[in-house]
Amino acid sequence: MGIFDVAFLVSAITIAAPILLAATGELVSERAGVLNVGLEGVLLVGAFGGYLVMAGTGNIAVGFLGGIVGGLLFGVLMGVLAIETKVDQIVSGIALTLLGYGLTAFLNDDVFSKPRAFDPLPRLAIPVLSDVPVLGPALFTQDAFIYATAVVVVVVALALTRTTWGINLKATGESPVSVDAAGVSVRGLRWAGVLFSGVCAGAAGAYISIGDVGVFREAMTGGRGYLAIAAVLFGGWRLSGLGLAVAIFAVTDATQLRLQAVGDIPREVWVAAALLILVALGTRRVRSAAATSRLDRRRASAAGLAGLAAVAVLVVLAIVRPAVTLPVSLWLAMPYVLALVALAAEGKRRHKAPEALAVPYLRSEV
Amino acid sequence: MKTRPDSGPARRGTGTGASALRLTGVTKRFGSFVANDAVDLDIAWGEIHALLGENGAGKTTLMRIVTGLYTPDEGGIELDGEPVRFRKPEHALRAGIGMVHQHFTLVPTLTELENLAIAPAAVPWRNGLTEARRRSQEVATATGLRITPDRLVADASVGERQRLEIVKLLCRGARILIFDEPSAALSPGEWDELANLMRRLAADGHAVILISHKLSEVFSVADRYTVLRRGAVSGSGTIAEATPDHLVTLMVGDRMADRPPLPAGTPGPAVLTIRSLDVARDDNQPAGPKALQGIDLEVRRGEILGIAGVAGSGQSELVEVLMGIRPALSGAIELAGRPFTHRSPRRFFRAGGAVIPEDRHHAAIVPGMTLWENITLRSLRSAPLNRQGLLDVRAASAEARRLMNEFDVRADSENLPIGRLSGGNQQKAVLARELSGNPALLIAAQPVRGLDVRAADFVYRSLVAHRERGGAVLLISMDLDEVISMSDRIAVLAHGRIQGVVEAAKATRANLGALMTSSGEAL
Amino acid sequence: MLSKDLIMRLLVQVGVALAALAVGALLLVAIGVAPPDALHAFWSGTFGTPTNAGTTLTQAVPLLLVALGWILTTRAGRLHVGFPGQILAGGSLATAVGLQCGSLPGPVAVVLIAIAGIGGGALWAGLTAWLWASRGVLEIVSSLLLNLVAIQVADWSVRGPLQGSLDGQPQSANFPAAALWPSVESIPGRTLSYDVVLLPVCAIAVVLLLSRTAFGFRLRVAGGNQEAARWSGIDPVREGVAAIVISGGFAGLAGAALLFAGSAPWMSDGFEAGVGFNGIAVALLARNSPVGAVATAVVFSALNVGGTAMQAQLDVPSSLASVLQGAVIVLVLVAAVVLHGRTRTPSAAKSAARRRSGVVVHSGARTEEA
Repeated sequence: MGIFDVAFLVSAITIAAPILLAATGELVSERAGVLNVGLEGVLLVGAFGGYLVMAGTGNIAVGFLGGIVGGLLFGVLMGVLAIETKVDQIVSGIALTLLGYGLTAFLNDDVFSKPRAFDPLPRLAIPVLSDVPVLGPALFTQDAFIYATAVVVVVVALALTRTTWGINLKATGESPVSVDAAGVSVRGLRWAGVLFSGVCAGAAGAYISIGDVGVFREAMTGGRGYLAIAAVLFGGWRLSGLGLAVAIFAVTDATQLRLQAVGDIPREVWVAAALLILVALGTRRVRSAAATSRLDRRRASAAGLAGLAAVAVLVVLAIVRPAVTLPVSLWLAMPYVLALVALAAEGKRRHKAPEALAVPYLRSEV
Repeated sequence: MKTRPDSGPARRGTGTGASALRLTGVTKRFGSFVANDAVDLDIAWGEIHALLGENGAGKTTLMRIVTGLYTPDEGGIELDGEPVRFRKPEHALRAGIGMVHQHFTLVPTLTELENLAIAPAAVPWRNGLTEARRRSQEVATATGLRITPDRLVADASVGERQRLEIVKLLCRGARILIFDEPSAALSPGEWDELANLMRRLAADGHAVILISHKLSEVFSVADRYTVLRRGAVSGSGTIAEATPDHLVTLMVGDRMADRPPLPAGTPGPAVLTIRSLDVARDDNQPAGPKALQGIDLEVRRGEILGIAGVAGSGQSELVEVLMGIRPALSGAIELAGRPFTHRSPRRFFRAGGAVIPEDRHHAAIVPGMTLWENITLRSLRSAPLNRQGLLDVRAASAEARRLMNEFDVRADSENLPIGRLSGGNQQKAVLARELSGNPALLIAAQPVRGLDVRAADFVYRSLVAHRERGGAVLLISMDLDEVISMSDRIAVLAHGRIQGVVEAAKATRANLGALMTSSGEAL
Repeated sequence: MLSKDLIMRLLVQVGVALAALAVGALLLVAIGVAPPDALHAFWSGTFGTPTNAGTTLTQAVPLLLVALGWILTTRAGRLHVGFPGQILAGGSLATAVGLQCGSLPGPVAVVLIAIAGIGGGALWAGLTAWLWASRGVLEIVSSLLLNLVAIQVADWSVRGPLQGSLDGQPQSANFPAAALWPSVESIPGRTLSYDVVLLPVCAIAVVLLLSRTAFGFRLRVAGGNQEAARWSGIDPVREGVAAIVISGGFAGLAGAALLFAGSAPWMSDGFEAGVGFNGIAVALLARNSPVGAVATAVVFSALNVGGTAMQAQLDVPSSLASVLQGAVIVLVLVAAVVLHGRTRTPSAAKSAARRRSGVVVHSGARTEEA
């Protein structure tokens, strides 16, 4: 299997989990109408909170709690700015980002003269399931955080579709007036969304620091918060789309990590990229069959041609196997570039953003 | 989940005449402005009570007090003879008061059933869908109002949405239903259906409040009326003993609403010619349903052509196509004697067009910018006020002052943000901007909507003056009386087609209404 | 009435500054440093000597340039945060050009470098603008991602094509003397670069651009009410693109200024040093007024320079400055609300006027009913 082996899958899942959890929280908050661009700052606070508490108590579970409390604090700050004082959510998000960077760097400098390292979360093998070949080691020999993330995502999926609370929440992001007219508190739901997002991002941040590697460094979240926001957009504000987006980002990231070590780009990468484009083209075709617009169709066929050309180039590359090496930094930029390409390729899409996203609710509008 | 009020409408039904809702001396002030001045209102079970008044008479404020959005400064509310105090909309809702808003409070991206399920949830994991389904079936058996539970609200028609809105209130146990201008978006046929429904609800023992300024509707369905003028009650009584003239006097005071008849005009050659215009409802789906079909129209020099029709008949699409904001599928447009093919707003203005958009705040003014900047919004961008990209600010504000004088825009200074002015003054500023270039064609979409009588009169006189100067005016209005009194000719637009063009002198509400319903074919 | 408004604003500004000082003092006490000592170190480090004052003023220039870019884009109703990336792009291109400028006469080299910086920043911002205008990608998200890409690209360029230090450090070769921007010779250390003239010049230029030119007028109309702009023949997308690209130019120039008027005559990977985000804070603190931004840029620059001085003298972590900067934004936001009595802030009104195209967040200016 070359570079795409079980260890690759494990690393992809480890990369995906915190982004997925943070993005799920962000999705809930955005469905309620609050856009938190400061997710990166919240992740950092979660990461540092976890690290700080862990250093104090030595207990990783309590450490995670510390991360959650940190995330929650920033969630409260976001809520106060966006819901109570109704200032521009994007500007509030920028404030949160700056504050998160500054505060964690400052406290880290101050509290920890020497960086400390802890043991990351232990891996727990689920009996029986973990013995399944390939899937067993990849999916069922993971740490508690990854299982918890899976549970949270499933619970959120159920809550959004199957509960009155979920319907109220979705309605809040779409038409707060209707929710208010039904006697449901817009404020309460938005607070719930923001706080949930804070908890998720706090836990995800704690995983990035103490759960995964066991240390904290300045700005260590490295843009995962931005990736999570991009995933929500790319996923069209739906959990399924979000999951797909996170999977793509994580696989790219895991690939680049692998390739940094390998040097020359092996054949599998070209083949995998070609397959990926083919799959994307296939789904596009299915969708465009439904689209009636001539303009859309013309655009789709142009994109199709470009895609096929790319596949052809990739196949040639796979056969020729040129000795191409990319510098490490450019590999590091790959997930972000891919996120941008994905967003651009989606274009003006069907799933629209919640109508009231980033719009403060003023009751006089009823 | 709240419990259903124990005194349901069915049990109340026999007790018609008993007071349902009584307001005594309700006063609400906003700063120095008195929106409601010692209003008394008495609504009985089993009646349809019309609440009449011009725009700005205080109807909306009063109903916001009744539904708990505002708390009154003075006065009291009694429900079933018991004093109540609503501090939040939830309280009014729980007490059984529900309002069908003019703009529906529905979530288009959810299904009809999900919309019914929006409710306070005591436990987060409650699933209210089954309960909502059961309730909606109960309502269906009781009133005959059926919904399509699994359809997205976005796919429902206006009439269907209104029905859902009513079902929603009934599901929540509303006993007093308030309809805010319900006919605004309905075709005459849909209105008849709604009128029947209101009667049925009243017969079941509900109390129905109808807010309207259309006398024909009030006379066709209401039992009693209360008229508001400038925040105070100017009269009330039973409809059977009232005459339309009397109600109009109560609404507008001594001044009669009738305008002097339009002096006969001398129309010249055509300024705007539209030939077999087709427009898609959704720009991105040219093959989808059409918003306009086979439109043929001509507006001549020195003429006001009125377009009559209920909201959503294709009026906004027509304006947007003429402006070049929306593409047309086919058809030809000629403006000021030249083919107007590559349309854009810029070319529209350059060809001698001007427009008073329907939605003032949305499309006509920039609220945060000053009055003079708004008045010179377009002239500032061309010579002589703009020389090689540099603006002559002094000349521009002098020009704005001159226009403010000419068009009676009242403001302390031309440097105030236009958003701080009253609606009437804003509209006059827009009028000043659009008429200052002496355009060949003026499109006026609902130019007097939301204005007080005096400002509306000014707008009306300005349009007529423009016509006297030889300008052409395309007037779009949802109000039949307004179209009849302000136009030379009237084109009736319904379901995206021109159903007929009538000389204003021969137009009556009846024959225009007949044209609106004549071809009910859905697109 | 207007002057009362002005006084109120000034009072709030002062209040924000005092509150930020209080936060700073609290943090200092928390880590066991006496505020008076810190204040002394801070003062001598920022304005105490001509050398330090020169550094403070020179470092205010990039902050102001970024702030002006932010102000322009917000006036056009757009919000992007791609300044770090644009600074890196502008700085990299300026470095590439500057390294070749050794044999050119000084003024020519300076102009060429400035143009290269502007061009690099504008190109990078052009990506955001294109993604927004033609692909409907929310500009804030694309600019955030492009920042991350720019960091890696700059990182690569000082290790690859631009790498020029002899001991293999990730930095470029030293800039030729002719390419360095001139500085005042009489100040020891020559810390005061002549580019400080950009402080008043650029601020006034932006004021005039917005108030006295047709372009600025179109920009403001597009930002004030997108729909009204469209209905009066202004294409809000074109104006938005122009604003984003110009703001990128400003940020790119800031990148060139950071390098060629900075303390070290070479490009290293971390030269951006948070200027991109701090510039936004500068604009916010000045309540998006170009002239006010000159003052707040100097304040922020002093925070940075003084923070470094405090670290050197009292071992206070220099990230104290970033904490204060973040706190300042939060305070400004809250103050804006206090000032307007729970109505909308200018930026909130702008966001309410934003329109959706594809994934672009919008809220079609809601009209309130009478």
